[in-house]
Amino acid sequence: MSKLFDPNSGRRKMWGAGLVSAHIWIDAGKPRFFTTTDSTIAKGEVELETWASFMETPHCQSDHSKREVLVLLPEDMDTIAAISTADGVGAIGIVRISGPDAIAVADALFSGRERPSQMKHSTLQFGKVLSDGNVIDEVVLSVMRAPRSFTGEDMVEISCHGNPLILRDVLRVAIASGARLATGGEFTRRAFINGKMDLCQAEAVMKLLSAETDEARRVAFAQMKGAMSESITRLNRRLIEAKAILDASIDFPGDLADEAEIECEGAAASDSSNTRSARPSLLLVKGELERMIAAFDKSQRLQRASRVAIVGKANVGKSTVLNSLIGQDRMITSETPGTTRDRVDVELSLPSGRRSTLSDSAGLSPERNELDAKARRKMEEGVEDADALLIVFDVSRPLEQADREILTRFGKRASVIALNKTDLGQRWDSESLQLVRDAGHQSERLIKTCAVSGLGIDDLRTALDDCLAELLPTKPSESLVAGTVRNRALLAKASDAVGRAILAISAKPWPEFASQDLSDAIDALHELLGIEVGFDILDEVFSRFCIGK
Amino acid sequence: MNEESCYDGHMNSAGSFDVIVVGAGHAGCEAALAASRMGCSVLFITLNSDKVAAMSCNPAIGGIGKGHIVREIDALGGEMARTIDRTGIQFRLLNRRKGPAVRGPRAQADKSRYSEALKQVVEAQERLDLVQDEVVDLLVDSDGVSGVRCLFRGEIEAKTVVICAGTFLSGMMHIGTESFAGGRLGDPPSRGLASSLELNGFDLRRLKTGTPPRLDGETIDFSKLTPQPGDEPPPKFSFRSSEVNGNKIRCYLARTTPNCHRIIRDNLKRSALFSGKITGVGIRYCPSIEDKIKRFPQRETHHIFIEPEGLSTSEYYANGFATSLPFDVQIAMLRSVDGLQDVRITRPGYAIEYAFIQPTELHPWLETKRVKRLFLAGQINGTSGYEEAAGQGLLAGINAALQARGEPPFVMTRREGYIGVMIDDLVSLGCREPYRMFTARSEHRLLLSADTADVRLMGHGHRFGLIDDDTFSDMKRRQNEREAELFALSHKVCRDECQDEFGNKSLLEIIRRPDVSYADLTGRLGFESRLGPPDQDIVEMQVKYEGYIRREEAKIERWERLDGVRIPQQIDFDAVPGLRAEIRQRLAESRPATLGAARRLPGITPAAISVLSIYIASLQRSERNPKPSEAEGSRRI
Repeated sequence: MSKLFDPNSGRRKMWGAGLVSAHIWIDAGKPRFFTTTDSTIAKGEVELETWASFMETPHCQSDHSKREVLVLLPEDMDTIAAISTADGVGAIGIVRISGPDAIAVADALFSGRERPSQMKHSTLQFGKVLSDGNVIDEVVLSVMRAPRSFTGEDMVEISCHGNPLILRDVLRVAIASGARLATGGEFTRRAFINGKMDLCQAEAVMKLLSAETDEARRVAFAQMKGAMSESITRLNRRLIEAKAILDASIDFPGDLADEAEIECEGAAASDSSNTRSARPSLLLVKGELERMIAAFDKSQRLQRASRVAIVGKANVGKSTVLNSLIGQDRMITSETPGTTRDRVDVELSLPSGRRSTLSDSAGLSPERNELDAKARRKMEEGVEDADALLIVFDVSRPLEQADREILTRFGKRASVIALNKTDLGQRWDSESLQLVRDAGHQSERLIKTCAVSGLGIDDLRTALDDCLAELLPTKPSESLVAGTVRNRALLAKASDAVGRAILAISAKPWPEFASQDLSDAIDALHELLGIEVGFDILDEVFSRFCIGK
Repeated sequence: MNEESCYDGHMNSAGSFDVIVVGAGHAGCEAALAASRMGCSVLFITLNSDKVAAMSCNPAIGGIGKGHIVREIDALGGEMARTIDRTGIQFRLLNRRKGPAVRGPRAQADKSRYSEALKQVVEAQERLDLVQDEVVDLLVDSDGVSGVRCLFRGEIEAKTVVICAGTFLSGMMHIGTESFAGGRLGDPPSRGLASSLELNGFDLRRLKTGTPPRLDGETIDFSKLTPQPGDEPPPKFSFRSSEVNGNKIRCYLARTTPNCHRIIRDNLKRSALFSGKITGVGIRYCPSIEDKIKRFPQRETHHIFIEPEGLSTSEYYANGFATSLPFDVQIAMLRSVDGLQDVRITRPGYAIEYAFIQPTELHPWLETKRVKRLFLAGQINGTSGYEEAAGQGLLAGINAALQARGEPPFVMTRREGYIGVMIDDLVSLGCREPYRMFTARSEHRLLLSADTADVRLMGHGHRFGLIDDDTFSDMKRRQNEREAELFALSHKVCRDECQDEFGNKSLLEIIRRPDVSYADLTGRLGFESRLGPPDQDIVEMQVKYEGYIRREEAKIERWERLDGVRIPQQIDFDAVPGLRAEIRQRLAESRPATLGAARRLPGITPAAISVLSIYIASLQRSERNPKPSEAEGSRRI
């Protein structure tokens, strides 16, 4: 469950209806404010009538008291409408209506050969949208009937001409005819609640809508098609099998370990060998989960545009390099060292179409005052956030102590190096050049530039592009996981639990520990898939083992 | 209906009984004893008063999961544990090499002495009348059950009735192609009661179970079998017994042979199980030998445990060899086994089909939803096993007594014990096959050790008057001593000689390690324990399980929130928007009492729980602030 309430407006911004445990702050006998116990859920103001109802009515005698109560978010299964194409002018724009009255709303606003309520499921009709008798647009209207629609409810889609003004007008008429403006993601949420997609798929749709980059969009699409659900289901299957082995050895020691009930020494050996036989499978699952988490982390970096930080000594021409790279005079440049103080982020388009955020900040120089210290902190933050660094040196002056410090501190990080100010002559000796090379940089990442004239800037762009492509590859296998933070947390929970199970099996032949750990892991994966929580481990046991006296 | 009642025993002042218990098996005995000990007048009716607490199938009590239930029965003040301690003839603790939470006591019983001993307890009990009769009808009016009609004694009134009919409801036995009516070999079935239940609207369904042949010990060559001794010292079941009867006999292990398997395969078509004669659903975990051969053809041998039926008989029970093949095949297949080459069968194995009532008909306190004050316990609810039956019988007896006294019912939660797990499983999921307890059925396995049943449940037993003050305070004292020991362990470090190995850690930290046992602690680490061995085991378990227990408790807390949300009884699931049809149907069938119970139903998704919780909240909201327009209100929902 992610953010449920918009902290600014206090309005419901629902995603995944459900139970939330929250502290309710009571003020003058009325609940005013709540904070959820789960910090990932936003705080909001209480409007009791509109969004919350309490399982137990809070005792409201004491003011400013804090109570933990169960908050149930009311669900309105009314009819919703929204413009479902991107904002801006396009060839076609679509207004979507979903809910029990969707077709009645269409009847009210549409004029064509037949009324929408008479149209068959999944058919189209050409006609007009009318408002008080005036034609707003000529449209194509489609009707999908429950439960065979995206949301599982009656749905109408009106394809209009793609002018935002027309679209807004059509939406306005729809709302005047009985629909309500949908909140963000509400269509998807209904699809989930009505069982049309599992939680992973629903979250992937949300991602798809909000994906910032092309890579993220591709990954989100693969996930929506169930790729993630499939691999999780497969891993879950293995965990259930492993748990069946453990549980069988607990509940049916005599049946499973052939001689276990007879000779005590024999019992120890065969019991533990049964327990241990689950181990290879668990190691495999653990590896797979870790791989998914790593892929997730990588894809997290894909979700946002990649970041490049420019670092270098003061007055080596960092801001000039930035201006040349983006092709505009964004930064003030001067001959005075330390012209740039604050950190500035700009957007950079690279030759492959990749977008990157380039951040410039103060150069590395001795700290003389508080301002220097603050500027340096900003710089360090920029470096911390960055996926790659663009290190700038001034080749017109010999290598200084500050340059060496940069090499030691940042040389190991993935970076492109600009040897700038080539127009002022090369003052570097071969030793300095070697030092930079030794820091681990391939020659194609060492670019000679003259930022003022633009010399070498194209090469610099290509080098940055290559560097980022290497850091953030987008092969489909690795991009499988593009889930949300919740997905990662659940994967990590499952992976930890499997890790504990492996340890437990290795440490002592007490299979009940490992079995408990596997329950935790299976629960986490079930939660990830959003499927039924109860499962019958005994079905598994009986199908695998000859059990019973 | 105006038949003269000719009951001559003592009733309560109103001329009726508080509780009538029908059936004197393992469930019935616990029910009758608990209710009478709680101050109720109890009439206890059996078809045959020579067969009180008869062990119709295997001559053993306990095991993993089952042994846990016996300990819980004892902690609540039931009788099964004390009786097996007195009449057991071989005692073992299963899973000794696994953690304490999954160790279960098991004992071979002397069948006839067990039955006699429990009958004596029943006869000695005040306010409890044991009579032989057959209940042919239930007296039911619009307000629920009001008594029973018996074959000999006519109508007898009671405030509550507990039915523990076992396999006797329309029982039908099968050996090969022969079939005959009966509740147990040699005993007739009960028919009137079954039709009376059907007339009252209960849907009777059928289950199947089986039992192996009994063998003449004089004809067994024990020298060819592997002996299985008991554990020394013999572990006891009851928290309240001072000692156990001890290990008096040995069990033996025999193995089936390829020849035996061939005989079975050749005669499969003559088995009642595969000939289509039996329609009831069988048990996966207690399969007949023909089932095992058919389903696991790759296994070269199966075990047969040869267990004595008692000290004063030479009959042996062939555990693991349940069958409904014809008698001649039973002889041939047994004689193909080493050590049984000359064996003589005293009683053949057979399959038995019997009627049960889907336990989703029950409230979690075992009263039927359909007929008020009527309670059901044991195999009639679809379970299998003496222990499962006794556990339910005890709870049904307690609740019948509470009901007769006008007090609120007692429901054991899943975290309190396996009996709670069992009843919750039964009433919320129903039965597709006979239900037997396994530790895997509990999601809280580590919290439900057999050793801690007293801490979990004696408080309840004491509250109901089934556990006396001395026993209760003794339990409290032991609990305090364990606390004191834990405190001592956390404040002591190991002696100097061991510093190299363990450093400056507290003894508590040291025993947390998987490779260190309490024996190490009291031995080479020089700790002077103030506890006896059973309490040392519990302390060790508490320490070693601690991290797991903490995680479990956090989980329970989460679920208990859902368990705390009641689903209104009158809810119409068809009116809940956004539920899939199959989920709607499932909910309507089981009518779970809480969101927690709904969550445990198979096929119920978290999304469905969300939708349901929201619907319930909106119901409650509209109850609090009724909308002026009825039509508008329902449309909003």
